[in-house]
Amino acid sequence: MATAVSIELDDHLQRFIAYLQKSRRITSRQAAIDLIKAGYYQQVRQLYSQYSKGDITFRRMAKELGLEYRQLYTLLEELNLPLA
Amino acid sequence: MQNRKRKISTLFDSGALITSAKFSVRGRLIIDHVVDCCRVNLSPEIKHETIDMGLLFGYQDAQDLAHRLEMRNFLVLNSVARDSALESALTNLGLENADCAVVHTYKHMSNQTKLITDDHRLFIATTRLGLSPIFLPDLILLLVNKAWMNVALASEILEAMQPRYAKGFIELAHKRLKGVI
Repeated sequence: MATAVSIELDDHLQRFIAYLQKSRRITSRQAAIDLIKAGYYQQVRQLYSQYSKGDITFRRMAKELGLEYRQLYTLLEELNLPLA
Repeated sequence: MQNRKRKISTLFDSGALITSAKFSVRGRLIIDHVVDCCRVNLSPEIKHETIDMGLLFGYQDAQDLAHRLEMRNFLVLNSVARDSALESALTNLGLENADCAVVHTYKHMSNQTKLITDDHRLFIATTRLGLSPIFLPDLILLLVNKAWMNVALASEILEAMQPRYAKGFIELAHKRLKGVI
């Protein structure tokens, strides 16, 4: 389910999105989506790194991502990240 | 001969249960091979995470698990009273509510019961409590050691579950299976 959100970007983000728009020849909307996705997957990888080292449990990782246990299991499958 | 042997008592954590319901060997899910040799117990929280939520999201493995639950292949245990001192210690170790439920349930089970978890943090916490958790691949090795399963089948099961484990993890299990280590 897609959700539309309206946000104000600070000067740095505006410049970066304008740069992405030009360099990748994409719309500002697509540039913003790419940026948010990149941030999300970076967060997933950081939490996964903590999980795989035993610093946090799988359930804590799910909670930090706003996911149910099942959804996180599937996400790790999709990203080809092992459970143990 | 096998039927007279006492099955190994297990308490499954969610990740290990889902993995064992996702992969098949010789036309049967891994969990079916496990049920041949083990009494599979689940806490209510694990049933909720794996079966109830899995059905809600439409996962095939949840349907397979639900079917096996109907067939009484698993036993869902009653919720146990939580010891407040233990609960506090587990929370301080960073365990979440369902993690704690697994530990409390496991503490109430016999010493012979094996907790099957693939969660390193939960593994460490339960080990520090003097309990004996094992990873799912190591359960397969245990079944071979206890003469419940032959080496060939165990090897195929380890191979099948490989996608959910880091490379060295299954490699070590294979080496132990072959007696190299």
